[in-house]
Amino acid sequence: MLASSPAFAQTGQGVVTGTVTDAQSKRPVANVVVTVTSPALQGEEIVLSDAAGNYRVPNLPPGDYSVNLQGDGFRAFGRGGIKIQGGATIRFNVSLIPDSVKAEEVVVVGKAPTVDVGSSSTGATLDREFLSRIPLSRPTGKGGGVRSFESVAEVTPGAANDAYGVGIAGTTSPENRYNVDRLAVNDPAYGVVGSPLSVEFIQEVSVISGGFLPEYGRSTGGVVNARTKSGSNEFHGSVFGSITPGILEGTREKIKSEGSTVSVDRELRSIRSIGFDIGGPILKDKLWFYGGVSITLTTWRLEHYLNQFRLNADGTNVVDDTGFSVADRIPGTTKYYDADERAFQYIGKLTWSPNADNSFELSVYGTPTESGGDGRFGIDPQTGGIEGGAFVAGPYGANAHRFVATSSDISLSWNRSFDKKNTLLDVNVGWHHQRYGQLLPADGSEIGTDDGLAGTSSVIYRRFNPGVHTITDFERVPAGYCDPAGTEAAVLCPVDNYYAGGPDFGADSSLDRIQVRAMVTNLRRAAGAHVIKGGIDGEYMNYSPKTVYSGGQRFRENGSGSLWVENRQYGYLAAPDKAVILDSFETDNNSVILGGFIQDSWSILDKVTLNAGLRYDAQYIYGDTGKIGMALPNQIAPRIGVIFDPTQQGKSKLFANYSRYYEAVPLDVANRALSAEQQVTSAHDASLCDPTTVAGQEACRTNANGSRIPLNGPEDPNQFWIPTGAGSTPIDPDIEPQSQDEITLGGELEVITDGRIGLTYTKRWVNQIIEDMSRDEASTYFIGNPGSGIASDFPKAKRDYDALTASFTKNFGDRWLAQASYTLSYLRGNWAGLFRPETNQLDPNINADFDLRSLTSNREGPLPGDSTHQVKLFGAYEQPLPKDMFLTLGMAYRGFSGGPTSFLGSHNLYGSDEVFVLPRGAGERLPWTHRIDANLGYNVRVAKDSVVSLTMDVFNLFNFQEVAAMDERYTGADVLPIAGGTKADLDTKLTYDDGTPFDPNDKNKNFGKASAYQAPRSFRFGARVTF
Amino acid sequence: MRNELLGLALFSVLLGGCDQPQVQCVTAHGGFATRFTLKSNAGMCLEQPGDIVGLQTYNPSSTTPTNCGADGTCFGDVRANLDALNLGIQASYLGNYAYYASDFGSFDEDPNHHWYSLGAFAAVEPDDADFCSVPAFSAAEQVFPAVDDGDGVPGGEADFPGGSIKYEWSNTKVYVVPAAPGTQFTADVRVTEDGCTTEYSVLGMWPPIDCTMYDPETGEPMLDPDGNYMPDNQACDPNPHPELGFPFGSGINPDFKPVCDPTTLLCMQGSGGLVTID
Repeated sequence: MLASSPAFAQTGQGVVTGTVTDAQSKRPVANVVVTVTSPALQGEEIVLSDAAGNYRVPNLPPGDYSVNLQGDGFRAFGRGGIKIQGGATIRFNVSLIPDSVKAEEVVVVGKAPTVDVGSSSTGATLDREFLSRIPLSRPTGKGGGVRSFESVAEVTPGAANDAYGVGIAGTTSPENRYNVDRLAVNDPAYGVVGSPLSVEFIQEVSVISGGFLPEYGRSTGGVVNARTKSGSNEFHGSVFGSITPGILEGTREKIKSEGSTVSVDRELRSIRSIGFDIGGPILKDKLWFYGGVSITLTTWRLEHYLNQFRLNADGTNVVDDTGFSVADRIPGTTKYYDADERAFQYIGKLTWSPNADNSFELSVYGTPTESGGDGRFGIDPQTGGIEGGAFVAGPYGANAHRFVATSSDISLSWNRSFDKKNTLLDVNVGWHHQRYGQLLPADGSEIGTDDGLAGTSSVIYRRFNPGVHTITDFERVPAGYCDPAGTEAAVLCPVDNYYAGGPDFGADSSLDRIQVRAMVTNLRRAAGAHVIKGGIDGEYMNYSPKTVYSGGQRFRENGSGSLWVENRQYGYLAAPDKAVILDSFETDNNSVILGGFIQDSWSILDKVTLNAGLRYDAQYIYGDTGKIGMALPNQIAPRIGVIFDPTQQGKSKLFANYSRYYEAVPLDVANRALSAEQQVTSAHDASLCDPTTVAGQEACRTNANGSRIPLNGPEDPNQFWIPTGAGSTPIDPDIEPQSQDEITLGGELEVITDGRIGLTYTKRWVNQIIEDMSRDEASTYFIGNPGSGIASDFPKAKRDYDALTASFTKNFGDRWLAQASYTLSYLRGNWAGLFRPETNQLDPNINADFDLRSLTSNREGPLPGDSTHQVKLFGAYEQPLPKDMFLTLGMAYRGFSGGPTSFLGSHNLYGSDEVFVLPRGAGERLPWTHRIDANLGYNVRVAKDSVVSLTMDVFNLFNFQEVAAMDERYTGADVLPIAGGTKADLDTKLTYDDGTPFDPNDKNKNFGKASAYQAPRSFRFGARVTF
Repeated sequence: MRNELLGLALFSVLLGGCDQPQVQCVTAHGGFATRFTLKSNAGMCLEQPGDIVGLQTYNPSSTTPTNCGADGTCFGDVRANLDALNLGIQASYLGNYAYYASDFGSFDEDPNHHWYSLGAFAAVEPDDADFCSVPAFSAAEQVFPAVDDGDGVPGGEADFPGGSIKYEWSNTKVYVVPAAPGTQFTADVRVTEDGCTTEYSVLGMWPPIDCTMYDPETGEPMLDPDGNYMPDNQACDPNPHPELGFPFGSGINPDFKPVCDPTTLLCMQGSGGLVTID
């Protein structure tokens, strides 16, 4: 285990405070020498108690501390094992025994309390003990393979995994602020985590789920702070490796679905990881280093095969008991593919402490990750989703992609103390860079060029009139199977959509954030102790995506097969019918956020602490035109909290807190709405245009055969071309920044050594949100605040979160640790957050939620994250064995009551699942899900500081296969919502969008049935040598 | 570029820059419902009560593209010049005339003659009164030669006698605010059909919604006692009324308070004039 850096004192610094009394007279004792030591601290900190017996030792980096007290005429007293976690204030009151008293006459009060009496924040701190002993980061799913630091935030009471990370306190994961060593590593475009650094290189993750002080801003979710490991005066390191074999996965519950001509079954082959880290002195007491690397390889196996539908004598499909058509596998059609991800991670860190008052730290880390290509399918790093789902029909080159997700970060910090360490300066400068190559051609060709797949247009077959294509139009099948090629309306092997040609849409984006923070901390005594902090925080973000359609455009067959429509291509019309087609569309989007804060943590007579402060931020967003796109100044965020310790012994606290949080708007909105994306559409007569070859595509696009046909009406200055994309979306001149308010109330009480119970109530609600809207049913759009300004005829955005959490936390000590919480919560509203859980659309501030007034009906109700009951239990125990061996056991239980489900229909403009047929949440609740994970470790101490460990993590030990999601699509037809309706109204009041009564035959046969089950049991075996 | 932006941002913060960006000149895609108000009629010319008129904006290329196909479609990476903006405008009446002539095989082959008029916006941002102006346009003109079907009967049924039509647009002003971006315009137009000239002032509103009253049973247009089609204001209502057979709103900006124009049977602004929004 690596010790903390001696020098990195300013990051989340803790405080030890207390009162020294005479054990006999109970009077305070002045001038007691209080000495604080720790492996985490260079040298020692010494203070004297004042006339009231009070002492206070600030600026302590997280770690295990010993406190020694020596008073004239008293017996010396010392106590070790005081755990200080990031930013905590620990009260340690001591009664000293006068030399004159015999020991047995008084009982010494001098335990090490764990209640943070200086903070009204809520959340969880996960130190090395917790991170290494508890089974965390399930290997499959987003961030699981590399054990990304933010994935462990789900441990926090009230937090839950969502499609893009961990949502905190009823919010969505892109709303969080992800800090590594104090600097933000959020993706500048989408807000999700941008540097998924492995927990192997992390010393501590602290998750602030509420009540955050003004020094934290630009988040309406939580704050996830990771502190990387550092070198110390002794050489320490580790070599580690792990494997998750797919063959040991538990049996997956099969999801029933409509038969399909093309099927793809996926199973995990393995996840393999290996790495090392090492840290130590370069110059003892002056200069230290830390470094590490890891490689994680993930491989999935895709089994691709064809099926033939089973027909009744009358030519109709044979259906099973659930109403699904039955299709039988055609022998000899199976092909195997791999989907894989290669994730590399590195970190290097130098810590320099030239003297007691100055320290510097330089960190460089990165997470280059690649996926897919060379015959393999890709894994999307944004979601962890594996390409090649069951619906994909078509050749490899059109359907497989490469993904490249590279982050590189460099940060420099300088800490300076003045005035006997009563004033501290903390300066951080950092550069976060990402490359996100999304859906790149699998053959390695570069997007925007004429080479290989990059130069080949996607060709989508989707004829449905008079009938759909047969698979034999495209692929060979064994003799005796399927409809013959050229069949007008296939029945044996029909394919609704067949994707051929090139890989279609792709994007290669460069993303940057440069952040500069400076903070001054001043400690002073005036009617109590003050910790005054003030700072400035500037952030520049850039998002430069290059987006393409392979070959320059997509050719999509029309419904009758008579036309090839170039329905996606970047370009513009320079004059009537004069189209200019762009090879790629590149934009340059920028944002500047400038902010500052001031706060005072005022400990009044060491009984009450008042935390009060104010944060100010202003964000300016620039689209590709270089002109200002959106101005969001005047983000004034008050934060106020009060903490009272009834025991005055640091063993309890009662607190109340009010905070306002503002969103830092990610740059996706600048690219999508402010940068005037331009596309043009035209169509070709299919008898004159054959896009099945690259040469044919070239002849179509240049109109060499005169295939382009007129499309438009007599009033249109263009007859052959339709421009789409209306330039920059206008901004409501009275737009207000997106913000949220929060109240937290709670208390904590220490009940055993190192252990405390707590009860917290949290209430959060949104003030304004930013979204795009259309008042004229998709005719024109603008960006504003729903319910205000020019959007006053839209409903106001609502997301109300109320939660009551009871918790028990026991830090590691006496060979065990535990963390248990139960959260009762209520999440209601019409807006989930920065992405839409129903469709997983991630377009922060321009999602479809409020696009049209006709979409807003029935939207209010329990939101997807509304899991009423959450139980989380984590525990670890260490059992010594003879001969320097010991066993470690970690257990985790998570129980969630099921979320709401809804009745969804299709909207005539927005398509599937955009209409809430009945009010949100009218469906059955999902069932409870339970999961038990275990970690078993066998350890041998081979030398004083060297341990060999063999570990086994089991996730979902009992392979519970409860329903995790239900099919909420009531119908795929365009229908009208039944405003305020009930299930009884479905039979009588449901109508199609033209007002005619709904035909029950159009109800989705799978509605209300399972669409996903819990992830099955999996094992992760690990080996580690620490020295 | 980035340095400039940083500087700009600092500058705007120092100035307490709180203003949102000026909306850019834009027009809605496709046809506008228009009402033509007669200003002069040179003779006994046929008068137009209104029409569906198409507006389309164009950004010229920043440099002249070189890789162009047979029909003038160009390829490469020549981006649009966003600091220049032109407006194309075309009347359905002219387009329909051309379709009609083409049915007889009559086409105007003059490359300088177009169905549309093209003019340059005075600026790419609206003026202080929120208007984007195009002071002058090229003329939209078509001259269709006579076509004889060769049956030897002059002026017989299938013969096309030839004709000409010309639209001269001027003084076009498009109203552009965030709440109603480019969905209304006013203009003047002089129409010369087969030598007969009329002049109008034009009010346009987007989108063009047919407000003919239809029989809910038969789906056929309903007729008043004089045999005329009847207007239906309900068809113009921006709010849906499923119970009246209108499951969706009309798609017209609710601030326009649209009503059905009984002459054109298109929805127009309720006030009879261009609606400005504060």
